[in-house]
Order: sequence, then structure tokens, then C-alpha cells
Amino acid sequence: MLKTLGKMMLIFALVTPVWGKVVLLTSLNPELNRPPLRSKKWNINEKLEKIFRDQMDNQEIEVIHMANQWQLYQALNDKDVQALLWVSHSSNTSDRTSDALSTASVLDHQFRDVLPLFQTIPSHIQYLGLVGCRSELIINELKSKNKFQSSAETKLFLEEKKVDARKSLKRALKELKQIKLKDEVEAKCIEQEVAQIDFTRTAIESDAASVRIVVGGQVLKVLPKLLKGETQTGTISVVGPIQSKGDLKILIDTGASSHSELDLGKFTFTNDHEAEWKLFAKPDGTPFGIGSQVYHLKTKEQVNEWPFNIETRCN
Amino acid sequence: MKKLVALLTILSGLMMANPAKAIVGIASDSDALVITGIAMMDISQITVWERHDRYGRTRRGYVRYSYYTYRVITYPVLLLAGFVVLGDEGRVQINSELSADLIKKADLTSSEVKAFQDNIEEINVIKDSISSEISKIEGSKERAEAAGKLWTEYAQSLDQDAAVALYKIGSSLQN
Repeated sequence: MLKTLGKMMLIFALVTPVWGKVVLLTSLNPELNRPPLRSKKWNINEKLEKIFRDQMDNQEIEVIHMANQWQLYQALNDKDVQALLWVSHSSNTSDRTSDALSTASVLDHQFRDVLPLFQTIPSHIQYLGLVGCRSELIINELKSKNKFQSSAETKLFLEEKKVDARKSLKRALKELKQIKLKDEVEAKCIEQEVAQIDFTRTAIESDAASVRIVVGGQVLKVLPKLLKGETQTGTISVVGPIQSKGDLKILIDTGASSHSELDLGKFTFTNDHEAEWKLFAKPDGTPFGIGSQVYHLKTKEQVNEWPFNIETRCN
Repeated sequence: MKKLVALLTILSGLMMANPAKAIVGIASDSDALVITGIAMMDISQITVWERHDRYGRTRRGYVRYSYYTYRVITYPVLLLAGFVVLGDEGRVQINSELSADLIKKADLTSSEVKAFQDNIEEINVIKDSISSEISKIEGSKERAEAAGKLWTEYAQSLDQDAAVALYKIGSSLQN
């Protein structure tokens, strides 16, 4: 019976009314994205916003510049959002020398990788435009690794080659206007057995960066930036099957490269079984990692014998 | 980009006669040097415990006897070069997915592949730590050597099979 943990218990469909909203998230630093011989007033974000507003007459819209992973996470999970356009730099690993390494990234304006947030596209997002160089190759790489999920009805706008931001955004908007967004989307819901883990994060020494909590390669939650002295609490649900302690290993990730030392905050994880999670660290206690850290589950119990909670999830 | 890859490939071929020079000449990014350093990891210090099961027949039926041995990995500390990660704005991560070709080339056992995949998060945070630490060292050759020493030290915190797999992959990529 335990081997069946995490299997789908019940499938049913709900019809969720969705009121259309189109969101433009740009994540470009205007100082670093100004063409030569332009005045300091020239701002790529203003240019992109103008293109967007001109094309989206009479449409409920939202524009966020210098967006980060927290704002992307919120937009992706906002049920009112029907179409989402993300504009940023990206890079792909397809022509690299080895398949042991990957540089496939979608980078925000602080050069932090937000690609894992695009692994699962909720069904209410009927149109996703990834306006960035070679975004098609990046998504294809995720697909080849079976790490990309989207509804069959979600239309993707991707770029095959290196592109100019404004031209690419115009193409994405043109394509968006050609498709008809539905007033209603059918959200598929399933009941799943999950292991719930409570967490507390405290910014002790300085402000703590926005982080995502990842288990088994899945982004379970994204936390906003935390000011020094503040605390965040919450719960994450890990979908089974849970067969070993490794299945409950937790990755805390800012998406930053190895050159950006960041305060991730101090995490404490607990569950109903009084288990503890210990930070993966050097013998002297210094945590491994710069933009990310790993927490290992420490318990003497057999995790596959823990009872699980039932949770209904709709995509 | 393709021209640059081609140029670096040619350069690396020319410099293979002097591997250290190749590292200095080509790899300029900390991440590249960290990967280069994997092949310099001295895993001769890593002992691998192996469990052996034997079954004997007694009056009560079959009984399992287990005994443990350990073997010391004796790969030489090699200074291999020619593997280049081009500096790019992308975030460099070591992949958990390994191709059949790479598994064969690196001569990985199934338990090593599994350990490598199960420990990919730990491997990447160690890589980031090493990349950060060596970025403070001047001179590419010195940084690559420091990366090798740090991999040797930090790999002790990894599952042994994962450390062996990492070393084999790093070495095979540079051959």
C-alpha cells in the first residue's frame, strides 16, 4: 500500500471562471541594456511598456518592471491572469561541449536564474510568451528532461534564435492577439497524498533574499525578500511517493550564480513526526553553497511508514 | 559562439602538450576552473565500504552472513586539461541527467550513477562554494589546483559513490 503513495486518488474536473488579465513582466536593467549612442534617458523598460500598452487597448493589464522570481511566482499563480509575457535575458546550453553541464537559464535583472519557475505552467495561463534569446531551446531542454508541464491548451511563444527585445515582444503580442482566450478554463484537480513540512525563516544578520523551496526538482514555494529581524512561516507539501529520506531533501535556491554571496536566512523545518532538517555544511559548520543551500532530513524513523495528508491540487 | 568554440577547441588541442598551460590559457572563469579541478580531486583518500552477503545452510534453513570490506580508490591525481566551459551569463549547473555515452565513457557503475543523481544538489552547492573560494585566488593555474584540493576535501561530505562518479565524469570530460 505504501508503494502507492503519491498516486492519484481521485480525478475530477472543475470549471473555474477566469477573468482575463494580461501581465507583462520585464526583468532588464535599463543601465545595462541601453544601445550605444543613446542618452541616459533612454530606457528599455519604458519602450517595452509602450509597445505593450499600444497593443493591449481595452484589456485588463498589469506591467511590472525589474521583476524577480517572487513577482513571477505571484503572476503565474494569480488565477485572474490569462496571458503572461516575460522579457529577460536567457542562455542555453545546447551547443556546449558536454551534457554533464547546463547553462540553460532565464535570468532576471540581477542575473538570477528563474527557469525552474517555468517548469509547471498552471492551466489558467492560456498564453505564455518567453521573450528572450533562444527560449525555445531552453524549453525543449526541459521537455527532453521531462521537466516541463503545461496544459495542451496553453499556447507558448518561444524564440528560436537570439532576438531583439522590442521586436520579439511585438511578435509575441501579435501572436497573442490572433488567438482567442477563453473566458473559462477547465482546471484539472487531483487528490494527492502529500507530506507536509512546516518551515520558519528568519533574517538574522541582514536582509534575506527571495528564495524558492525545491524538493525533488519541483518548486514548491517561492518566498519574498525578508527584512532583517523579520520571520516568515509556512507549510510546503511534498507529493509522494516518499520512500527514503532523500525524497524529503530540501533545496533553498535564490537562482543566483556562484559569484553572488547572499543571505538566505535561517530555516527551521519540522513536521508532525518531530523530524529535523540539518543544513548541509562543512565540518566547521559553514554551509555549502552560495546562492543555494541544502537541508537533509534527520530522523531515525522509516519515512515510508509515515501517514500522509490528502490534498486537492488543481493545475 | 560556434566560432569561439571552434577556436578554443583548436587552442586546447595545441596546448595539450602542456595541460597546465591549457588551463591557464583557456579557462578564465571560476566555474570552468572548478570543473577542471574535479579531475584534480585526489580521491585516493576515499575509502569505499562494500557489503558482501553470503548464505549458509543450517538446521533452521538458510542464514545470511554479511561481512564488510573496504577498498581504497587509487586513481592518480591527474592534471588534465582541454575541457572548457565558456564564460556566459548563464548559471552553470552540473546536470543530473547523464547520457549513455558519458556513462560508458566515464565507466560509471549503476550505483555510481544513482548516487550521482541523488546527490546532484549537494554536488552543485559544493561546486558553488569552491567557485566562490577560488575566485579570491590570483592566477588560473593556482585556482585550478586549489579547486582540486577543495574538491578532495569537500567530497568527503558526499556519498562515496557520488564522489567517485563525480571524479570519473570530470576526468572523462577532459580526456
